[in-house]
Amino acid sequence: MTEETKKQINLAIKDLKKDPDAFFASFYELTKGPLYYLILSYVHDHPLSEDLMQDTYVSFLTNLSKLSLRLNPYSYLMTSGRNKALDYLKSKKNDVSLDDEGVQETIGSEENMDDAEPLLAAISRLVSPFEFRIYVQHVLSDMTFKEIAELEKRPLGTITATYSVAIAKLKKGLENYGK
Amino acid sequence: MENDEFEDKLNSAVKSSPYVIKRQPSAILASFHEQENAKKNFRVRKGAFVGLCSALAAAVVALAVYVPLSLKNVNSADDPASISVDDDFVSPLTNEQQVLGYEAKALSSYFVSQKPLAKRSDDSASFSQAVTVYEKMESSVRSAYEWKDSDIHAETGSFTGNDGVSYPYKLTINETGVLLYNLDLAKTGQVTASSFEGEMTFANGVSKKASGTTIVRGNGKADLELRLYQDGTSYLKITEISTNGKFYFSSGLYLDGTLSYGYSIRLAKASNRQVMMASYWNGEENVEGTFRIYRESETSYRLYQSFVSSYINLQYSGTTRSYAYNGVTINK
Repeated sequence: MTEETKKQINLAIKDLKKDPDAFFASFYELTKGPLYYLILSYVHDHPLSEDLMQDTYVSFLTNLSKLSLRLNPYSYLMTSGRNKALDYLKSKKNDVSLDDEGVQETIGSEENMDDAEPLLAAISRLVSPFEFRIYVQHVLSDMTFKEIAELEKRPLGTITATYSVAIAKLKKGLENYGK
Repeated sequence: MENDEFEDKLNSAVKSSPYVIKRQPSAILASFHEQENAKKNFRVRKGAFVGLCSALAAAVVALAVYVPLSLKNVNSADDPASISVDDDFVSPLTNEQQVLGYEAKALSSYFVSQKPLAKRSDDSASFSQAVTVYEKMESSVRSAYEWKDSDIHAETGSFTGNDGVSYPYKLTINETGVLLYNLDLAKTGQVTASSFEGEMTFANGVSKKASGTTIVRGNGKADLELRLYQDGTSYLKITEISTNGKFYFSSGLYLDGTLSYGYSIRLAKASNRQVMMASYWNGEENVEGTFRIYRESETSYRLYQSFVSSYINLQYSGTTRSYAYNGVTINK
């Protein structure tokens, strides 16, 4: 995410605190993409991601008055989205196993992505869930590796190495791509 | 190709066609305000659970019954895309109702065949109620569709395709009208494709065209597209796509090639859930919602619906029930 976009988001949050009804639409336009894909990176399901994204925004608006602009509300929004996704996956613990590598399996099926984003669905099949998560957060949520490391609570080196492994796998798996 | 070059191209391609997020900010704001109001005003009363179940059932019925019928209201009698019928055709329904009746019938058949959650009859009262409504609609539409025998000639025969397979057909021709019907059937391996173009000239001299294609792939996949033309650019288009575990149905009224009114319903089944998504385009805005059923185990499941701006979350686990309205837990 560019510095300019970050500035716009910070200004939008200032406006939002003054009048949520008047300024939510512009704030939503600036942030929906990164937040949406962050959630998708965990749950692998488009419609479910939209629902969880809505929950995240509602929660954000509910707590908006308590948020200090000095404490990076955008980061709070993204962390809240991650927590919503993880809460959901934990509620499905009968179907999902969690271990040190994070979410190994999600309840979402690639079928749900095939229709809307076939390339992304193909990517999800070629890499591990953790690699997919890092890839999507970096490429589609516009997060830097440092931001991902902070969000995932992992060393920066782990994140960059995971991304490199994902790219190598994708290059092999999509060898005909781009020719 | 170098890694960097590949990475750049891949990432560009991934970014170039992002998923279109359908959720509108107004819906989120409405949900937020409703939640705030719910916190202030909502009080749990005895029987609230029953009320929520009723609301859930009503939402299901409203989605698939009210929404199709609501098209009746926007399709006025002088709507250029209305489908005319011969004066000899006696039906208590209006033209629009007949078309909608076909759709209701198709939906009814689908839902009746699915009977979601039928295995757990105790917990499926909502769906049973919805299915009952569909069955009644189907029966009503079917009785309204009866043609008078004296007005029609029916011909039954068979058509032998290039593959040597005989396909039965039946043509129904109105006594005073002319039906030109070109049927094209082809079968390759497990794929059977058919297409047709038809034109009917009615007693008043008005001609209507219809065309359609059907593809059955033999592995649980089938596509159907049907168009009923008012003229070259105004038509009613009905699309149905079904694959293993997924079903998509859409209906759109196109005026001068532009979608004016329409709705779509998508159902998907995964190992532990069924999902119904619906959207309705009323010419000005898109209204949409989802209905999900999650099977969490043999003894617990979750119902989740999000229509327009609110949702209800119900969870059963053995004899324990919990439910929430717009994300606010009401009772445990």
